[in-house]
Amino acid sequence: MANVLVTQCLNGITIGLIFALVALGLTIVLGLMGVLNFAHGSFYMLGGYVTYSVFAAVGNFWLGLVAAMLVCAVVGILLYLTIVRPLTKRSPLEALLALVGVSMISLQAARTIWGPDPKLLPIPFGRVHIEMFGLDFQYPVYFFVAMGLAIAVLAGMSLLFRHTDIGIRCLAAIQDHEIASCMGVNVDRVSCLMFTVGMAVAGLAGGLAGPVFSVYPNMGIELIGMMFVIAIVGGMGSIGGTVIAATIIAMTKSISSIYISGNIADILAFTVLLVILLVRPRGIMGIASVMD
Amino acid sequence: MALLALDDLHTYYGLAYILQGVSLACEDGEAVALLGRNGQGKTTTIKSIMSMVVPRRGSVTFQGQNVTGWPSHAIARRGMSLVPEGRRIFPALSVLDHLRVPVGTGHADRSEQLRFVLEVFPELEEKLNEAARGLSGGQQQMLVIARALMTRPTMLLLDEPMEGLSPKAIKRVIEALKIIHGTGVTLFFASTSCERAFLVANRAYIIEKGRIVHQAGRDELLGNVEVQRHYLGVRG
Amino acid sequence: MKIRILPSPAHALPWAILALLLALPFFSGPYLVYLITLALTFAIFALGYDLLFGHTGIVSFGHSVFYGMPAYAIGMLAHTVFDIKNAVVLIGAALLTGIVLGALVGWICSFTRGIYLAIVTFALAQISELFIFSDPRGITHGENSITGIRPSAVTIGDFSLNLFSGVGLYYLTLAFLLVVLAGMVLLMRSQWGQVFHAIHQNEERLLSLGYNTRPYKILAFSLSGAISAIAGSMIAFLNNIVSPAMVDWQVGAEILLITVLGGAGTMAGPILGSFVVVFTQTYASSLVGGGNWVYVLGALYILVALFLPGGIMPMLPRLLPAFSSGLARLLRRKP
Repeated sequence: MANVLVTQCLNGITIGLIFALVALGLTIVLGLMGVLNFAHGSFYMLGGYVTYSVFAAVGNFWLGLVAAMLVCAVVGILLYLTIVRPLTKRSPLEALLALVGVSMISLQAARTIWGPDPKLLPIPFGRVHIEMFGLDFQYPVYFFVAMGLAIAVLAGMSLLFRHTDIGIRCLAAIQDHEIASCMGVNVDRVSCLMFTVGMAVAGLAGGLAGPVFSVYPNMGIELIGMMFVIAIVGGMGSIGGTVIAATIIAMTKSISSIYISGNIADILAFTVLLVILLVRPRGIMGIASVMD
Repeated sequence: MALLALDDLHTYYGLAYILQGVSLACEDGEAVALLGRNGQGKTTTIKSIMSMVVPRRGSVTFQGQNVTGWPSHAIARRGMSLVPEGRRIFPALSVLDHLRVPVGTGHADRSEQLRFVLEVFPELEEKLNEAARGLSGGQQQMLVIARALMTRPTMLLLDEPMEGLSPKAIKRVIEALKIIHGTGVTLFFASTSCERAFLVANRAYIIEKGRIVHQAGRDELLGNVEVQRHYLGVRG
Repeated sequence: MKIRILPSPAHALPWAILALLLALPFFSGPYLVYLITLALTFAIFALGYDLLFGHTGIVSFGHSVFYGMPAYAIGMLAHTVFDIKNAVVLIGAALLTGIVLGALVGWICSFTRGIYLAIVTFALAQISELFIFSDPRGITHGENSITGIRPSAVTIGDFSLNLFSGVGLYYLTLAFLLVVLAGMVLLMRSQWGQVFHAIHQNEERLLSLGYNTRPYKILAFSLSGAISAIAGSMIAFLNNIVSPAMVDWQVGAEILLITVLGGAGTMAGPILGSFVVVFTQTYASSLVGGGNWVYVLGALYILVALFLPGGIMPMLPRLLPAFSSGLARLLRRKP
C-alpha cells in the first residue's frame, strides 16, 4: 500500500512540475499583458505533436523536445505580432475572443493533420527498482528525468527573472507597466520575449507529457481550466508560487484518485481557486499586476 | 533654444477637457516649478510630457525634437526621466533591483551612475537588498528619485516630490535635488507649495483650470502675497 | 411635395422580418424550421447574456451555467429523478433554477470585479460541469446525455396543442423571444435599467453617490440567468436531449462571441449575432465539409475581434441608408 502511495506521490510531483511549466507561461502573460491566453493550451498540444512527429520521423525523442520548443517559439512570435499585441492594446476582451478562435482552429487543424486518435510515445529508458525504507517497487526512470528537466527550466527562469536585467525589467513591468515604460523599458519588446518564452516552455511541457499521457487533440483544451487555477492560486509573476500551487494540485489529484473520483478532486481545486480569487486575488506569492 | 518647450497643449481624459492650451519652456540647467492648487492640471501636464496621456493638440519639444505622443520609453531614453506622483515603487522589487530597471541613454557607466546615486542618497546603500515596500515614505521617495537618475537624464520631471513626507524627509529631498541640479540636470517639478518649491526653483509657472496664468521669478513671486493668495490659496 | 404612402424601409424592416418569421412554417420544410428555432433559442440566450454584458458591463465567462444547469433540471425532472411530462412545470423549474443560480453567482461575483470576476465565473462553470460529470446517484448520467425529453402536449378541452416539438416549438420559442425582447426594452427604460447602465458607465461614481450596487448586480445576474434558462429549456425540447456539452465553458465563449458579433448593448444585435453564427456553422459544414466548419467559426472569432469589435449592429446605420434609399428608388419606379 505504501508503494502505491509513494508511486502516486512521485507521479504527482512529475505531473505537477510539468503543469508548473504550462502555468508559468500563462501567469506571465496574464500578469504582463492582462490577457487570458486561451490559446496557451494549443501550444502545449503543438509541442506534443511536434515531439511525436520528430520522434516518428527520426526516432529521437530529445530532438523532438528541442524541435517542439523551437516551433512553439516561432509560432508564438507570429501569434504575438499578428493578434496578441494589436488586440491587447485595444482591450483584453477582444484579445481573448481572438485567442479562443485560434484555439478552435488549432484543435481542428491537429485533428485534420494527425487524426483524432491519441498518439503514443514510448517511455524512454526503462524502470528502476526502488528498494529502500521498506518500499519495494519499480518506477520509470523517465519520470525522474522529466522532473529534472522541468526543475532545470524552472530554475533557469527563476534566475532569468531575479538576476538578469531583462528579467527584472519584466517583473517591474508586471508590477507597474506605465512606470516601467517611463524608466525606458520597452514593455512591448519585453512582452514579446516573455510571450515567446512562455509558449516555448508550454511546448516543452507538451512534449514531456507525451510519454505520460499520450498526445491527442484535446490535451490542451482539457488542461486550460486547471492551468488558470494554478496560475491564479500560485500568484502571478511568482515562479515559486506557481510551482507550489501546481505541485499541490497535481499531488492532490494523484493521491485522491486512489480514494475518490477525479471529478471531486477537481471540484475541490476549483473551489480553492474561487476562495483565493475572492479573498486574495494576488494568490499565494503573487505580486501586483496590470490587473489590479 | 529651450531644452523643453510645451506649445499650446490640449489634453483630455476621455471627455474631460483638462489642459486647455498650456505653453511653457525650460532652459537647459534651470530649475522650474509648476505651481497650482490641486486639480488644476499639474499632473496632467507632466503626464502629457511623458506620454502617459497623449495630448490631442499642441506639441512637446525636447532637445529640439518633437516628442509629442512618442512612446514613454523612447522619451525616457532620450534623457527625460520621471519621478511620479505617489512614488509608484515596484512593491516586490528590492532597492537594488529598482536601480537596475531603468534603461538609460548609454549602456556604459551604469556602475558609475549607481555610485553617484548612492552618494546622493547614502541611506539607500544599507537597504539595497530590502524590498521596496518595506521602506518608509521618505526612503521610498528617495528611491524613486534615485531610480529616475539611473537613466542618466538630462532633465528630471517630478510630480509633487515632497507630498506626504515628514519635515526631515522633505529636507533630505530638497538637499538631494540641489545636488542633482548642481550636476547640470534640469529640473521641472509640480508643487502645491510655493515656499518649498522656491527652495530649489528659481522660476515658476502657475497653472489654473488647465491654463498657464502667471509666470515669475523667485523673488518676484515670493514677495507677492496677492498673487500667492489668489492662485495658490495661501494665506499671507 | 413627397407623400409618404409606405413607411420608410428602415422602419418597416423589423415588422417585415416578424411577418416572415410568423409565416415561415407554411412554406418551408422541417429542417429550416429546426434551424431557425435553434437560432431563436440562441437569440434568447444572447439577449440574456447581453443584459449582463452589454447593459451592465459585467463580463462573464461562465454563462454555460445558466444555460445548461436549468436544462439539466428539466432532464432530471423529466427523466432521471421523476417522470414529469408537464411542460409548464418543467419550464418553471428551469426558470427557477436560472433565477436561483443567477442570484447565487451574482452574490459571489459582487465581491470581485473585472477580469477576476470573469475568472470566477469560469471556475464556477468548470465546477458545474464537473458536477454533471461526477453523476451523483446517477441523476445526471455523467458523460452520457439524458435523452427522451418529451413533454406532453398542452390540452385545452378537446384540442391538443403540441408546443414542444416541430412547428409548435418554433412558435413557442418565437413567442418567448418576443416576450424577452419586450421585457428587455421595458427594463432598460425603467429605473432598474438606468441603474444597470450607470453601473456599466461608472460604478465608482454611483457608489460615491450612495447607491448600493450589490443588489442591482445580483438582480442583473438573476434576470440574465432566468432568460438563459428559458433558452436552455427550449434547446432541451428541441433536441429532446440534455448533454454535458451544454455545461461546457465553450458554450459561454460562444454566447460571448455571438453577442459581440451582433453588437452588444443593442436589442437587435444579439438576435442578429445568433442568426449569423448558427447559419454560418450549418452552412459552413455543408460548404467545406466535415469538421472544417470549426475553421470558419474560429476565423469568425478572430476577424470579429480584429475588425468588428463593436459588432455588426453599429455598422448597419451606415449600410442601411444605402439599402433603404435603394429600395425606395425601386418602389418609386414601380408603375
